[in-house]
Amino acid sequence: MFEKIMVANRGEIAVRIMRTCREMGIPTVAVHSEADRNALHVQCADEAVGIGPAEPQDSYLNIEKIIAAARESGAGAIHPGYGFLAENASFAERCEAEGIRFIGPPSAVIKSLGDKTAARAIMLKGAVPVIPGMTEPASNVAELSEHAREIGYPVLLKAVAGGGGKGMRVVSGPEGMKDAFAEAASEAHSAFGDGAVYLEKFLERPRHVEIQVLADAHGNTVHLFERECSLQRRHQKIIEESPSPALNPGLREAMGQAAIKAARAAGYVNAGTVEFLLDDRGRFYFLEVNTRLQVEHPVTEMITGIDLVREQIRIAAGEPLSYRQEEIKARGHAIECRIYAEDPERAFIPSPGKILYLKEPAGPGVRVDSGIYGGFAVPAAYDPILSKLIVHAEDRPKAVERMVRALREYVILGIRTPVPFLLDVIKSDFFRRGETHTLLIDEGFAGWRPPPGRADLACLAYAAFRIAPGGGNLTEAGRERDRFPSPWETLGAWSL
Amino acid sequence: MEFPLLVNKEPKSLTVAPLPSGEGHLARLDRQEYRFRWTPVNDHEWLLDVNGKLIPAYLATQGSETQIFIDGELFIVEDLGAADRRPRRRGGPDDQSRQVTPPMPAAVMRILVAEGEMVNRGQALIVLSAMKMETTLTAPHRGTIKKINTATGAQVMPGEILLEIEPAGEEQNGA
Repeated sequence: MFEKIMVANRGEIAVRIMRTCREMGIPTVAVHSEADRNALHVQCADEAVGIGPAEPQDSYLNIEKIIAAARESGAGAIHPGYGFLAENASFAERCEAEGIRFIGPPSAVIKSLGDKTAARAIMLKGAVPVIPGMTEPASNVAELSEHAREIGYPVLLKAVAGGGGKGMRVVSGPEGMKDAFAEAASEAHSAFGDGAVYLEKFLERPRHVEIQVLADAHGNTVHLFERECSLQRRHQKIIEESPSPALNPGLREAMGQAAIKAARAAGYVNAGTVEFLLDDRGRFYFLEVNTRLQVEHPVTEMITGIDLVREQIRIAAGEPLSYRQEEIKARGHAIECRIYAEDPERAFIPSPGKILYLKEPAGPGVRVDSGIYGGFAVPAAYDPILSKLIVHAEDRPKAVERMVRALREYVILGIRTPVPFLLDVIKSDFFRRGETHTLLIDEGFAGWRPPPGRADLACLAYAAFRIAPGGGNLTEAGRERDRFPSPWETLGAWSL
Repeated sequence: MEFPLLVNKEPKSLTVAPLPSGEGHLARLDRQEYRFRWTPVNDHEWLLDVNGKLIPAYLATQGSETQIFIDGELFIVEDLGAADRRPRRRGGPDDQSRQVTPPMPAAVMRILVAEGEMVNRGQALIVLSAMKMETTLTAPHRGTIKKINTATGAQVMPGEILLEIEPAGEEQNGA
């Protein structure tokens, strides 16, 4: 087993990985940019190495600096988390050349699957069903337009190196192609360092269902059931759950087997996710393989009881899988809500800034994977994910009620978050009925405004805040800390 | 005590007076009456007792707004009484429609127009990037680019006027 692991990431995922390392007794090394000197993941590590300015290209995406940090700290393995270098084949290759273990699949596998067009070709060959579209990147607008004409609009432009909704545009007709191509290519270039794009037929209302797989270096491959990820905004997932309300046992088994087939066709090793689009007639199509730990991996951990990060580390160390397929059982229902720094009332525009107050939910069946704390200034330079709220309960209706309860407890002040929006979505009849598809949020919740709610209570709270001694002058967390006596002295002695 | 408030932009007129019994306060909001009292738990957390029901409220003040979180809902409260004592924002609504400002802290990726250029309503002007997402600012109306106050690579903030547009004659009022 490794003597020290470096986590080449930041935020909630770095914190989550370090927690498992700590449970395994493996010391951790954090890397951080100048903007993240006070970030939570630095506080959770045994050692920290500064790797440069805030700009990702100069820090978290800079292979030389990451490798140097691993050398300097003597880490024998690097966990890349998700995003940044997680699916960068050159980085994995470089680790292999330097004798540092990359906790993820072999670089050659990342390379073939990371090229979305090559991956489509592999799956076609492996008899895994794929969506109609290109198997080569496009070099110009004319080429894209020609393919779009062939398969019919609407089409979806996607980054060849893509993921996470970056570099993606829906094009509904020929007139939109030029701008969409420019935007998608530019976004892909800044997110992945590669501006190549291709197109696929855009399926109107598919469900997005993915299968978690684990494969060791000894030829064992298992699946850990599905995650339903249909609720998205701007092509980015926002609520995930398992099991999927859309699958029956037969379809679940068929998709699980297809995912294992896909992993084997690609020579996959470590944890990976095979994404499928599922139409309303139960037909599913291969979308892509994510060669990393997914943001939404906790829902799988909650229903199976298996720590995916621990399995990743064991596999990377050459150990065999801890479980055979028949030993992996799903129990109950798990739901995850992603908490981003964004304003749900203004088309989800990013909302970086200082967190003035934070109170996270807790209690039975509640898990919070968080990368923030009260007083932390959320940098504008990175992805807006702050934390993930995951709940687990005996069945879906109970999990929904538990999520409602937990969201109502989730206080984040100072920046905007989608908590009130998520609450509205989770409580909606659509969601309760499990009628989720990828356009539900864009269509059913377009131009969302908070429900009228209990504004009267807010007025009373404000008045209390202004009338009470010292109230009304609190601008920054902690500035007036000494003004109030401790709650132990005041509880039971109500203010007038 | 009078509190002329805006809660999520909706006007609310609140009157609060201590109860003679010394058992808390009486609040009048539109036609509703509430008996309430409270205790601070910490700087940002207040436990309200409204008509005998306990309600935790969480507050933080940022500039002219107070964010109040109650039971999963976020309320933005502006105190118009307090606003009287603060300088008003520069420029009226007419001015704002001629100015293009970012909706969030962001970096300028590309400027797609030049000073003196005619633009149509909805035409792309500036591409911004924040938290890895690109956003395109478009022209609010037809007109001529009067001034560009920013450059590629610049870090910009909401309220900062990136670009000014002189409206074309026929759309001066309204549109």
